[in-house]
Amino acid sequence: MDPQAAPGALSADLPGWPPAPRPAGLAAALGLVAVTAGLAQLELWALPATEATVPLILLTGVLVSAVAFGFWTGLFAALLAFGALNFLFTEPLFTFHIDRVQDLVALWVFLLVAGLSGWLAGRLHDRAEAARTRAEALVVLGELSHDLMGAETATEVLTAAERHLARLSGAAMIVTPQSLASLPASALAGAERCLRTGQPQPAAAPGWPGSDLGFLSLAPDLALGHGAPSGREAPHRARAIAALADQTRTALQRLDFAENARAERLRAEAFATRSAVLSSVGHDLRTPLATILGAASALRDLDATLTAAARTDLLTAIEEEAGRLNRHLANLLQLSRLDLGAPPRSDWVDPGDIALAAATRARRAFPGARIEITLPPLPMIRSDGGLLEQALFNLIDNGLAHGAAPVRIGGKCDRGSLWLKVSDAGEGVPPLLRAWLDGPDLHPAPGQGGLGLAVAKGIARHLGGRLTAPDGMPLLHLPETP
Amino acid sequence: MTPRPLILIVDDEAQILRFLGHALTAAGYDTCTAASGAEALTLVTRQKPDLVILDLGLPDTDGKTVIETLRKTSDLPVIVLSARDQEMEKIMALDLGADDFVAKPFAIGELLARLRVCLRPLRREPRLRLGPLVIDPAAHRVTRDGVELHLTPKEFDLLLALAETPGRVLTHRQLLARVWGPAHVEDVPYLRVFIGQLRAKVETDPAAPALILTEPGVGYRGAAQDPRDR
Repeated sequence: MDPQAAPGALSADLPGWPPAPRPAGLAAALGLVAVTAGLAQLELWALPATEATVPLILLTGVLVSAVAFGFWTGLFAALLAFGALNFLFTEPLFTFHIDRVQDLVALWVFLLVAGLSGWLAGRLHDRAEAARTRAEALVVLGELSHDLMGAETATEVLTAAERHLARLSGAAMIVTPQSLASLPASALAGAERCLRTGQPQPAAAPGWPGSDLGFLSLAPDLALGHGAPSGREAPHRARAIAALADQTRTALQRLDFAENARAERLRAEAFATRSAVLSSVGHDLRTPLATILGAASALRDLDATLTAAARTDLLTAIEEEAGRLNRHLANLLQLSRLDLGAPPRSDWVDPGDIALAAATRARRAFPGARIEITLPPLPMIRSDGGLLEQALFNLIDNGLAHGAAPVRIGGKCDRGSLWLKVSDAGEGVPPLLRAWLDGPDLHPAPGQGGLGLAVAKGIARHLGGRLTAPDGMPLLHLPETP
Repeated sequence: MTPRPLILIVDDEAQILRFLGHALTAAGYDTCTAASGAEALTLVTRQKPDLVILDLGLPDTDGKTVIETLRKTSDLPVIVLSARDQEMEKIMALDLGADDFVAKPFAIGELLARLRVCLRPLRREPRLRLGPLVIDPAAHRVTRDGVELHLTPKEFDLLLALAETPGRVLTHRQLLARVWGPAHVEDVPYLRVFIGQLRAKVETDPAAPALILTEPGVGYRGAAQDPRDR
């Protein structure tokens, strides 16, 4: 246990004296002794010559008082019973005089026995009371422990701590610098000092000026206010309260560690994604570069021996690969722009026109590619035409590269939503990529060659829509009026 | 007329196969192509190429596995195409028995130089030459312009290894295993010290070595005999 957590009240642990009697207990003891005295009188009247049992009957009252109300009440009852025996049942009657020596001895023995009985029974009562208090505290701590284990947010932890502390100490509150204003004036100084120094601030002792609330620090700028434990079990309660604060602190720390671990994991994942992107970009850029450099150097070094057809083909390869390089770079720049999260432009655009533009661009980039547009008349939407065209172009590119011709652009407008589908005759997006499309990650999945699909997904999200592939074919969903 | 050597090009990028096909044909080689490791191994058995140009990143198997499989049955020269960031891959491929590597992207001249070196038969001459050096393995003598150089036995072995395969890269592990034995294949710093000593004795300007060339991170290369192969 954190030594700082132990409140000052603990220094008064086990003073050695049982708790002071309550007036109600004393009154009840008086009543009980009166009743037993009455019963004894009744017995003497009904059955003369049974004087010997009178002390036993009186002793019963003493025992009952001690068992029910504790040590001091038991002792008080013993004195009363002693007085009653002397006054009512010892010659001369109705005086406190004692004539016979044997009566005097009997009375003193009675007082001794009654006192001992009261003391023993009272101790028993106090011990039982203490055990019950401790068991209660243990139950509360156990339940708290269970609740804290299940808590997933700091709020849940603090709510559980507050609830259980209220059971232990009668009053409980979470104190932060912001909540200081709502505290009673008497508690303000203690709470403020606890927040500032992190030191526990015990409640003022009963009858002394000061706060009736104690404060335990949980974290910087966070403290737990609790009612002052009182009675003989106060030290135990104070210890239980400190243990509760300790558990709460540990739970908060655990959440903190979990949060740190989560942040670290996210950072590591982001790092892994970044290196996956870099490696994928590297591959994308390197292949066309290798072709361009190789073909250009072959044209220069082997000029004399290359056939005319080979020369033309090498030049075509250079041109095509330069185009590919350009597209990769455009996607790369687009992706980093989407990462920056600039707001999209919002103009009135005709989705049909955009699809046509994307198809035209694709036909230019991939001569001979079969691209068909089967779009019904679609309403104008507010969107960013340039981005939408790029997304469609990437989907066409993807279909041509990984699917089978022809690539078809279809679409429909339904319940305020616009759907554009880019399908091909191939098998569609593999299941792993479909799951990636549905996920939040904008960067390409590891092993996903190329950035085209990632950029299309980013654009769809940027425009307020999403990109999915429920049946394997990419489906671009856009709100009709974003 | 001697038959044109047949080169098998293994790469999954169609554009690379396309330009390499034209370039190698124009350079006087016959070519056949494979887009996967399995196809490459089939073609090796069926067409019996004289050399394989192998990309390390293949769709079906790792290029290193292809080398391993090849080396079980043949000494067919293999030139590995690798990216600059695949340093480890490249070294492993060489240690597995690849003859040389060319980093992508490359100019065709570089690849043709490596091809010529690898296609040249291993020299079994009584006297080897490395630039101005004449090495007599039987007599353990090295002379430069007729003047004898005094080398320790290890330095001599090192020089001999590099001179036997001029123009071809030897990895650190290959050199260490050859000169110091298989127990010392990890002692790269040791090798560096010996190369430094050897250069001080054989190079005209040890600060700008022309006979023993460094392949950063991979190993060393003896200077090529043919100026075109540098």
